[in-house]
Amino acid sequence: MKIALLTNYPLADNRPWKQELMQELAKHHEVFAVFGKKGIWDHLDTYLRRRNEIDVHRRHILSPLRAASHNAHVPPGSVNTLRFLRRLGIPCYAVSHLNDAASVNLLKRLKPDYGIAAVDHMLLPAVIDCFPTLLNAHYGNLPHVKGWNATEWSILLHDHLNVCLHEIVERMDAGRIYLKENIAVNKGDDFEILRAKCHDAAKSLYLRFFERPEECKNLYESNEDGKNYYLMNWELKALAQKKVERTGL
Amino acid sequence: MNLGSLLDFTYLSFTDACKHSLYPYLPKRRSIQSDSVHLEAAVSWLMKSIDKVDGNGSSKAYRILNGWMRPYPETSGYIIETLLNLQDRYGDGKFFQAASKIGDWEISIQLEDGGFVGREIGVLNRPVIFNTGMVLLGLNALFDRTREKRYLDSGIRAGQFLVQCLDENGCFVRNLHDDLIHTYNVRAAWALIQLGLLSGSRDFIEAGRKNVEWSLGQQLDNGYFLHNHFRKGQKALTHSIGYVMRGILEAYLLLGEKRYLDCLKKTADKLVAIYGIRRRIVSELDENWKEASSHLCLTGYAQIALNLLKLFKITKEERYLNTALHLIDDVKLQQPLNRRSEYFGGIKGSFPIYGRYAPLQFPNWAAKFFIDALLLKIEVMRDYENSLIDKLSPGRQ
Repeated sequence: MKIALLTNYPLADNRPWKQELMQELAKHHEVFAVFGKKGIWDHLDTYLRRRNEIDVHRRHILSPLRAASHNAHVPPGSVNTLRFLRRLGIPCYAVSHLNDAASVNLLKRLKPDYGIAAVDHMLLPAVIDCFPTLLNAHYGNLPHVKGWNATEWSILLHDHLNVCLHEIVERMDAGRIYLKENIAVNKGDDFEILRAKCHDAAKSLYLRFFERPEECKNLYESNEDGKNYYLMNWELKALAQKKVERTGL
Repeated sequence: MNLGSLLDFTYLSFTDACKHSLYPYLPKRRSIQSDSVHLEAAVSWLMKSIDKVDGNGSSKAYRILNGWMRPYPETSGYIIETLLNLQDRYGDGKFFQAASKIGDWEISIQLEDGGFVGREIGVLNRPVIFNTGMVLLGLNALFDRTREKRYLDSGIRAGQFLVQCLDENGCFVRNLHDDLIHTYNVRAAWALIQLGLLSGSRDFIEAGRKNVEWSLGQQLDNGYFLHNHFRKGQKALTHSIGYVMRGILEAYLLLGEKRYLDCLKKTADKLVAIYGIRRRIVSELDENWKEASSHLCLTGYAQIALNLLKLFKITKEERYLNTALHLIDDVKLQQPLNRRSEYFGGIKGSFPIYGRYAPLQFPNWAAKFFIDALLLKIEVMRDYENSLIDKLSPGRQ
């Protein structure tokens, strides 16, 4: 099988789960990666826009006990994903934006069988159509919680947290659900720790899927219901955090 | 105009121009304070606007370069309800006194035909539907609180004026603002229904209901309301959208017609999605909800937040609460908290301050709706947090 990773920020991405996933997949499949948002301005733009969220998180939501382990999901000495993949000999491409014509042309030329999308924006139908199956790991409870801050919304609204592997379709987070994994939310966890757990779950779900892709695709769960959720306000995030701190789920 | 106001004008225009162009990148959370800090500042501004006209209404706005304006019967009318709510929160008699003095002043300026003038005092001498309806809301609130007959008598005269402005379809067609029919007049229908319930008159209730039905007929499938602009050639403003939503919402609360709620949710869902995706709702929107301006109407933000909070109380839909919290934060971000400035605690008409909606002004209704939204937010968040805690079973703690 030929599998593509679609992700962004080649200068800044250093997520170990992506690196480990691609390393594993490369043992059995032909893999390559396409990085969007390669420009310095894209990196700066995103950082500045997210600064509020980061600031709120550090000042109001991150529990004091966990402050020291902030960034637990990125261990010290972590390496840049682009460099890591290149060192493994995995072909990597960088484009201005994954939704650009250049990206579509590249994907059409490379003809992947499957795609893994780990991006922070919607993909245009032209990009989705380049893949027979394009997958995404959603860090929240599908089909109910679609959209932004899905982990926080799932915690606030429900008494459990799932990571769901689903197919990407034009509508946000609305494609068939192929696999799910429940995340243990323990008393005192914070959203950084939960994110790290979700990353690990995402990696294991992708690996499980690629062991038997056809079987997983046949046993899908419908993803029609649910609502789109948007950026969660810091006051609701603080309440969700309080809920976890008190009880776990 | 003096040197100080000229400096204010230059400073506010320049800083707003910079902030507006860098809006997506502004560090929000660092710049806003607790609800009570913002609430007290807005209350202090509102009371100042009343003191500036000796308690005979509330000054329409503080205008950069021109200072405090004359009292505005329309907004002074609906400020009465806010003052009564502040009385309940702080238990300070000054709010009730201010409310009843404004009520008496309103009665003293009521026209022969029962209507109230459009615009601020001395500018327009003919009655206008919307303005009359807004004063009626204040009179209703005072009668409800005091049971003093003079408020009801004046209210009934205003109600009779409103009823004769309706046509057979339930549309307000006489004594219009700018000779246009306006969907946002449904707020006057709310006042009529309220009056009908207070006075026991079915005629007022039915008249109000007819206008609500007409207003529902102006809603497109995408939730947008037609005929919801102030002047010819304008698009609907978040301010007028907030007005329509509130009118229909209150009609729902008074009459219990589920259709009203369903129609309202359609508009609310659209606004939640617009804010969620664009992270702003510009002042003017066309019938496809496309942006027709770049400035924000902060009054509209506060009104929509208030409506969403009320909707959350009814539906328990957290997405409404979330958007309301964002909108309130956005208004907080623009509230001047420098105690030495004349407009300390006021809310600008537009962001940036030179935007098309109430340019270079701190209108009294912007502060009013912001106070209303904050008062409700404090209550809603307290209840929501308690309900979350209640849900956590004791055995798991």
